[in-house]
Amino acid sequence: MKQEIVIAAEAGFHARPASIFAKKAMGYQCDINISCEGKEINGKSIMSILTLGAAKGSVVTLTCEGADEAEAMAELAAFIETMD
Amino acid sequence: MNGIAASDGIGIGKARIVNKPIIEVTKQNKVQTDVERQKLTDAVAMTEKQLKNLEDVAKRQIGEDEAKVFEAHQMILQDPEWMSSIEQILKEEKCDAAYATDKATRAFIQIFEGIDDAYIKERVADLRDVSHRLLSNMLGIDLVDYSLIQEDTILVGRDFEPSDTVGFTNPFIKGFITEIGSASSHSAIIAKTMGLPAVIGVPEATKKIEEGIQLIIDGGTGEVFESPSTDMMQKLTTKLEQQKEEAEALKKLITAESMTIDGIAVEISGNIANPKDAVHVMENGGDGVGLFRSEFLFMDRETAPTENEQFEAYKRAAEILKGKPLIVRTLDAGGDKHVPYLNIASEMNPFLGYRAIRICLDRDDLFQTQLRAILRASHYGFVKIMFPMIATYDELRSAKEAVQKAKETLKKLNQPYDEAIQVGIMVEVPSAAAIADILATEADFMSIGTNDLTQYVMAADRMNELLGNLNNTFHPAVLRMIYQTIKACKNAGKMVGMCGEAAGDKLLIPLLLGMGLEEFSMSPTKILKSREIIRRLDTRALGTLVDTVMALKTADEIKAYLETFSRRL
Repeated sequence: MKQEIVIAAEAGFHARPASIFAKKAMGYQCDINISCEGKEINGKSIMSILTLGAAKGSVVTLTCEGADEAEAMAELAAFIETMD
Repeated sequence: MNGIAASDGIGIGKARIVNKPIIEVTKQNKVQTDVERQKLTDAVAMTEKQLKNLEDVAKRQIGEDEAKVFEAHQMILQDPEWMSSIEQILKEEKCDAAYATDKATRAFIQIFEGIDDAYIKERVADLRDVSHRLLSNMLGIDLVDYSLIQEDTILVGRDFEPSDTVGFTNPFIKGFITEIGSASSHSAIIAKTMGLPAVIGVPEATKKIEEGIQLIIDGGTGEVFESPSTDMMQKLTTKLEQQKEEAEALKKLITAESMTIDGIAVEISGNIANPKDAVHVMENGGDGVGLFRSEFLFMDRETAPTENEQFEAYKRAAEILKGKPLIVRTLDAGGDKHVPYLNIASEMNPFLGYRAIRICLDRDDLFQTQLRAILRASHYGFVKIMFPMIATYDELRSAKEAVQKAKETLKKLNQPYDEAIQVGIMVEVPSAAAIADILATEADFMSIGTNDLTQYVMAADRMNELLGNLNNTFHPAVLRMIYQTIKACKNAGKMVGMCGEAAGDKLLIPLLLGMGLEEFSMSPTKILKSREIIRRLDTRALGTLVDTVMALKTADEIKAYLETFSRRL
C-alpha cells in the first residue's frame, strides 16, 4: 500500500525525525520504502533517509508491503505528517 | 621521569597505557567469503554490546544527552543499507570483511559530505566512530573507552588524536602523558583549553610506565612521579589544593577590566580551534578571541568544508562572543597540520614549504570560499580577518585583493557583511618582522605568532625534542624581532597583538606590555592569571625593564632577570 505525504516539518525529513522514523520502521516486519523526486530508499535505514534530502514542502511517497503493512502505514504516515 | 610542561596543573591517578595501533586496511583476496561473513557478524554483535554498555554507563554517570550519542551509534550499526552494502562488496569482490566495511563506509561518507547541512555533517562523525569501532573489533584491536573509566586515571599514550580528546571530558581523567609532540601540538592545545594537566614528549613512556601504578604529573614543570612516596604525595596534594584556591580567587577577575595601575587598557583574549571553545573564553572573562585556528574545521575529513558550513561555524563563534572581537585566521594548512585532500606533496622541510597563505593564494576557490564565509559571519558580530605566514608585501596585497573580490561577489548576491572589516596579518616569518614598517602601511593590525617566529628565527624545528634549548622565545634575537614589530605598528598607529605561547607567559607579560603590546591572546585557562598580572603592573615603570632586558646577552640571563622581576611584583 502507498500514500503520498507532504513534509511539513521546518527542518525537513533529514534531521532529527529521521532517526525516530527509522527506529519505528525497524519495529515492523513489512518492507518500508520512501520515495522522493524519483529516488527510492529503504525506510529502515537511517543513513538512506538522510541522503534523501527531503526538505520542507517536498512530497514523499511511503510504501509498506508485507504482513503488518496496515499498522505500519497508519503509524508512520501519521508520524511524517506531524513531525517537527 | 621528565617531559615538556604542556598544560599546567597537578594530576593524580592510576596509569592507563593506551596503545593505539593505526588501523590500516589493505584488500585481501585469498579469503573464504563464509569466514569473512562470520567475522562481520561477530564484530557487529560485539560492537552492539559495547555500545549498549556505553549507553548505560553514560546514562548513569554523565547524562541523558551523552547517552543519546551511543543510542544513535547503535542505530547506525543496525542500518540495513550499510550492512547490505558491506555484504555485497564481500560477495562481489571476494575480499576480507575489514576492506568491505571500510569501502562501504567511505561510499556513505562521500554522499554525506556532498550534502550541505550541519546536522548531516555531525552524522558523518558518528558513522566514522561506529565504523572505527567495528573495524577494531574485527581486527582484534583493543579500544579504550574513555567514558567507561571509573577511577582517577592518568592516560599514557604515544599521542592523542582529536577523536580521543573528545572523550577526555570524563571527570575521572586527571591528566595525560604522551611520547611525542611539543607544547604546541594538538593534544597540548586541547589540554590547555580544557584545563587538563599534561606532560608531553616523555620518550618511551608507554613502555617505561607500568599499567595501574599510581602516577602524579605536574603539568607546570613537566615532572612525572611513579609510585610516589607518602611524603611526595603530601607535598603535591598540598600544591594541588593551593592551585584550586588560587583558581577560585582568580574567578573574581572574570568581570574585571584588563587595565594596568596607570590606567592603560589592553585586551586579554583566547585562542580557539572551534566555535565551542569560544564558550571557554567567555567563561574565563576573555576580552575576545585573538586567534580562531580555522584549519581545525578542515582537518579529519574527506573534503573541504563548504561555504555554508564555515559560515555557520564563524557566525556561531561571533554570536557567542556577543560583540567582542573575533579574529579568524585563514586556513593555515601544511607544516604539521595535515589536510590530506589538499594533496600537498610531501616535502623535505614542510615548515619551510608550501603552507598557509602560500597555498591559499595559489588556490583561489579554496580561499574565496573561506573569505566569503568569514565576511558573511562579520554581519553577526565583530569579526576580523588575519592571514598566516605573510612573508612579503606582495603577498599581503594579493590577499587583500582576494578579500575585495569576495566582497564584490557577496555584494552581487545581496549578502550582508561588514564593509569596514579589519584585515591583518600574523607576524611569524622573520622577513615579516624585518619589514614590519612596510607591512604596517597595508595591514589594519598585526598579531605576533611566537611559536613559529621562534622556530624560524632560531632555525630550530619546534617538533624536534632535541632542540628544546634553541626553541625558546627568551633568546635576544627573538625578542628583538618582537620589539621591532611592536614599534613599527605603534609608529603607524596600528593595533599590535600576540597569539603565540609567549602571550600567556607570566614572565614575558611585563616585558611585552613595556614594549607596547596591546592585545594578548592565549589558551582560555590562562586569561585570568594574565589579567591579574596586568592589573598589578604600572607601564611607567616598565621602560627601564625593557631597556635592561634588551641589553642582556643570553636567553638564560633574560629569563633569570624576568624571574626576579616577577617575584618582586
